Amino acid sequence: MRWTILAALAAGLVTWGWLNAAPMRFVSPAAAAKATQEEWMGLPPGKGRDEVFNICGACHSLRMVTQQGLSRSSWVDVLAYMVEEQEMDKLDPDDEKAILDYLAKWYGRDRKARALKR
Amino acid sequence: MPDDTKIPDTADRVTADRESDSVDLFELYAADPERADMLVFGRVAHQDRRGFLKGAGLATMGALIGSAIPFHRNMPSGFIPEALAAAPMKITGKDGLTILNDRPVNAETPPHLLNDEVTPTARHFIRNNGIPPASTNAAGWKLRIDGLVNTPMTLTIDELKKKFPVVTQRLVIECGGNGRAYFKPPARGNQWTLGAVACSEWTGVRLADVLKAAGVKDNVVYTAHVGADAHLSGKAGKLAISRGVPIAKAMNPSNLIAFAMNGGPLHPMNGAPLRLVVPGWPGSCSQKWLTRIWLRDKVHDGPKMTGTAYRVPKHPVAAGTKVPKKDFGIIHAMPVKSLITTPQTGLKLSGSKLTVGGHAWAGDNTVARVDVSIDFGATWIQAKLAAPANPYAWQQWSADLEFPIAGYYEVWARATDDKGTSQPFAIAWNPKGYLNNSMHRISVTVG
Repeated sequence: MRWTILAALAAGLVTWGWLNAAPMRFVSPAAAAKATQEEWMGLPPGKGRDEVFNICGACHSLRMVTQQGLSRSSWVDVLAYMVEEQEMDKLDPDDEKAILDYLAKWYGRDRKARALKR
Repeated sequence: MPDDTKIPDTADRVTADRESDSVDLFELYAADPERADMLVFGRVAHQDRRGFLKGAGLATMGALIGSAIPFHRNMPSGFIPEALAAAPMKITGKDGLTILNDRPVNAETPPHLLNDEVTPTARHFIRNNGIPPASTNAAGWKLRIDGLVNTPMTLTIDELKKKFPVVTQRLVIECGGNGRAYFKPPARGNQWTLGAVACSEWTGVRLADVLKAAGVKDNVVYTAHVGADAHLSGKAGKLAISRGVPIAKAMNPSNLIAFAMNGGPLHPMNGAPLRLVVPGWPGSCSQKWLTRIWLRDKVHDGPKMTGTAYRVPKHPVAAGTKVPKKDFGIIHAMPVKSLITTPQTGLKLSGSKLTVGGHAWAGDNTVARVDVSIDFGATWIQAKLAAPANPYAWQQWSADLEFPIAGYYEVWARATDDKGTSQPFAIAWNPKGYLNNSMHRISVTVG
């Protein structure tokens, strides 16, 4: 039984593995800036970030997003796939545009968000 | 992130075993309770400030606590369940894995940590599609065999052990998307590098024995596998993944319905207490948390069987090509492949001699030879190669190398199967990033 509980814990505990790089105690200004970035799971600031964070992050980790580097048309396909096959509700057109603009800008084939981090 | 400098192509990753970096849930909640709720549980605050566990979030929190939460709607947003206090961030029972994704959990093993002939449970990769079941208790677990069979059956794990011969086999499981990270242009999905592959020792009963006992009807074309994991959206009745294989593959005597891994329990993230192991084909054919095998008279159309999931174009395409859905075919056997598991890449060698080694495997085939090059493929040295411990086990190879002069080298490994097919240098690009069996390379600096 103990193993089962540990197992169940394991299922969720990695959910916040992202915090490894975001210590939240004794916060220096530099650390605070980094922590803010980490708090958004690495999503750079800008129009569309809220929508990506809340809508995409509702069902899956934002790591699923930040791993990718796709063309805008591939991102269109991804959102269609989420609706057609993964039970996402159809998006409000404004939200959809904000999400696509944001993803195409930061998570395009050049993976600009990644360059920003280094 | 700490690993960025080492592997520039694979940013956004953390290592699972750094307990010293663990952060207390209380701290996370103290910093920003609503954000913490969102991040940890996907829980979105209601306007009345009461917690609202959305779909997957509720399942995740339930899984964390090991129980459903009857009054979840009353839990204030930003409220940390006492049961979770001070728990460290770590995949319990896993060691050294790189976490690609945390909801669902996807984690792979760096090649040098895959050096064992039999992959320890702690080093077996994890590829989840949904939320694992809260309870993985073997007692009371039931497997149903139905569809086009003469005698539908429901069996406990004890009954499986009693009714059928129990066998132990070393079996390779590899994710169909292993190596996706190297696709250019990139393909969507988890950006696996090299380590979504393992060869553990599995104990169970033969799938074929169980299907024969149920009586396979003549018109059966395909199996359909169902597990107890929940869909990420949290929608009831929606399966995260349900794949199958042609009946001929299902009857192969190497497939197991497995209840033990390396002589112990299955790791919960590897499908405890019961899973299929269908070696040589994409790992997704090896349904985890197995509850049902359903025999059908057509190709199974469950989630991740259709569309472009686990499919590649039927004909070669140029990198970046947009391929119509009708031109995709379902992946069957995985291609021939090898890994260099010793030494770790980036070796600084003081002498001139080095023994390199690793594993090689070949889908439904066996590996006939492995060759190694230290001069970017201009010349090759044949490695010593062991026979597989049993069909579908990976095979160990090693080669003694001598470097002629100080400088930078790459060691490349190339396996060839018993049909004469070798690993390519370049990736056979496909839109979804599957089946990358290009040669593994490590760097060695001599002197």
